[in-house]
Amino acid sequence: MDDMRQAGDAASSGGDRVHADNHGRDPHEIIDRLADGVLPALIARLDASGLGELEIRADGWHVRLRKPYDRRRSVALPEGRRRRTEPGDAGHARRAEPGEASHVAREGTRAREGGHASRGDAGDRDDARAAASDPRPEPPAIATAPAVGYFAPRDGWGPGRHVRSGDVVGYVDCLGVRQDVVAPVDGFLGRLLAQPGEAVEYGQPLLHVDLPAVRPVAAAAQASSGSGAEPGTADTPTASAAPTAEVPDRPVGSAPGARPEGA
Amino acid sequence: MFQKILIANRGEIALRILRACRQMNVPAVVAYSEADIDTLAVQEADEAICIGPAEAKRSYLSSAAVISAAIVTGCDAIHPGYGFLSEDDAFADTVRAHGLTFIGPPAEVLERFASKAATRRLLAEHGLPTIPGSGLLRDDAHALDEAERIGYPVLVKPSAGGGGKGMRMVRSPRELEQALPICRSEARAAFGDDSLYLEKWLEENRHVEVQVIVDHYGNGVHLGERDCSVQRRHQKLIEEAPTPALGPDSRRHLCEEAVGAIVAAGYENVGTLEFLVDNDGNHYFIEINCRIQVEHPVTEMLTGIDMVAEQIRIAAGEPLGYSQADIELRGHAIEFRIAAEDIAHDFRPEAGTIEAYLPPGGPGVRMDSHLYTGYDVPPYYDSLLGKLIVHGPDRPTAIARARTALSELRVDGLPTTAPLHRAILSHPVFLDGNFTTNLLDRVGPGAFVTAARETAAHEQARAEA
Repeated sequence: MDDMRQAGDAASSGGDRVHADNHGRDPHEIIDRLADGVLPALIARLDASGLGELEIRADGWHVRLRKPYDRRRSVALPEGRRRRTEPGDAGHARRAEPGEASHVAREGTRAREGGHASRGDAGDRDDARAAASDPRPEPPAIATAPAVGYFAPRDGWGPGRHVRSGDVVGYVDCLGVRQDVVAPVDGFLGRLLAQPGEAVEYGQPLLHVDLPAVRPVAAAAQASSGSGAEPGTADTPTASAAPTAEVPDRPVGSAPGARPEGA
Repeated sequence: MFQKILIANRGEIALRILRACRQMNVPAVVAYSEADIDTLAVQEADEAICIGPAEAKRSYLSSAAVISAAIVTGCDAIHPGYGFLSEDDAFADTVRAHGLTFIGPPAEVLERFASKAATRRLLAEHGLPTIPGSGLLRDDAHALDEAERIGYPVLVKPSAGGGGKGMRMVRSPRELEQALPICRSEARAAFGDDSLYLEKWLEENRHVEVQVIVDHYGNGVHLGERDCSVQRRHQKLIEEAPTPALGPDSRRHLCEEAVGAIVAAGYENVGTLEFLVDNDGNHYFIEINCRIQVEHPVTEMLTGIDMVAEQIRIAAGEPLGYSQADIELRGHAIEFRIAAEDIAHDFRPEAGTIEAYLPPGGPGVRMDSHLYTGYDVPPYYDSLLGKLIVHGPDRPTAIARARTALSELRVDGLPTTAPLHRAILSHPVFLDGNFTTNLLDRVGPGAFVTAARETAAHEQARAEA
């Protein structure tokens, strides 16, 4: 079912285009068609092709599928004493599986080498845990400090907001120069890992970017515990659940960022 | 005294500064790059902060990152160690502008001595003999004219920095023309400044440097000299004190002249004046190093003075508190730089995991190194793994202790320069003390490399047996 899990994910990315390009048509209808028919087929094709990325534009919609890098390629340095990364933060340590297509941007998986390094170990444990309770949760990606200085999240961008890879989600003030904290992947802003105004070091995890819901479209109910989202928020791609006020462009799927601890 | 010191360096010198801070009961924070997270200073430190990625330009050479790290960790002073930002007057100035203290000469002192050509003029005015040389070179034509005037062979040197980078000896106009662009690009890469000057090349010379300490109130002493003539391509390999090249009277004369001139020129904190000494014992001032030097332990062994602690005290505004008469230079000390370099392959720097590390011990043996078994030597920085320093009542004793220590020293996993040191220790020219700076480039390193290979093979056989 793993490949299927990504369908909602892809659909959510294409979603704003769906809105933009299909004046007058019911977006839900289009999404249903994408999710039930087109995406599973595309995913299967991507899987079979050995390609890393597949982008389809047709009929006013647009879908891009990417396979994640093997995130465990990092050098396994010993876990740094001062790394404030917790095992639970091991967002980058998920093993890429054959047939898995996801939204994780390459920029994101490359992330910060050092941050990566200490996450390597954590990832092992995470994998072990995950293996024990399949379907495994989709761990969040982490936006890290681009410099040493004082951290400030971006004004008005709260948990649950939809972000694209590369979006500025906060700043680190390094000697009066504001340096951008960017989202490593497309997703939803999750919880803060550093307090506003806190002194942070280079590469320090600052906030979670929760990956969009990843659940089987055809058999959603079966995987309701899979995404780490609150059960029931996203069982169908059309269910527009969870607070959406600050994410008007978030089309479908669950909002992992709206989890209680994300607040 | 300072509340808290940020150590803005890596490797053995970060550890050395951390030790000094601890002995002085001053809290310290080690600033490190991502590549150095598992280095010993970071592990030993009570507090450490990652300032950037492996690339030095974005970490150890980034003044914003270093100063920001000092501010967010509540430090009121920054120790820059050697290399990186240690002699950067603009950095020292920025540090001060942020209300922090730069541990080293104040910014205006660094600026005054930043240009080597200007420094030579300044110190010549204060009575130091200097080697014939040019001013800053305007262009190739100017360089050729100046070289003609000085007389070949000449040494092309970058005005900024040191460590042999951007330096070439040339014997003819053609060689000079070829060397200029290379030196410029090396100097630009290493120091961000490609201005060059020329210096008369003394065919047979020794490199002798005088260590001075001057406080904020103009009290200055010298701590004797060091002989750094065992070099390869202008990179120091072995340093010792006192120099075997000069007698006690000449040494005293050289040191007194140096400290007199540098105090008069308004220097502050610890510094080193480098001289070339020719075969007739004449000395020529060539440059000043406004920082703690790699080879400072040699002087510490002779004087018993903790020079890093002195740097910190003087930067904090404390008076020197002793005079020249209080300084006693005892015995003989030699330092061997142990670098991760493959001497069989043109001293190629190596990176990798230290499979086993065993430092030597015994009377008069000191090992300043950040190594430990399992440490991963990163490929991004200079190849120095540590320094073995030996001290004895006289040179033969020091050499005997060095032999024992070098045979005990174990660094497995990477090729190091240790076998070369063992080979040099059995070379008659070194034992006689008659070597000049071209010893290695002339005699070897072929001869030494062969000897070193034999030593290495012998050791391996012994290890396997």
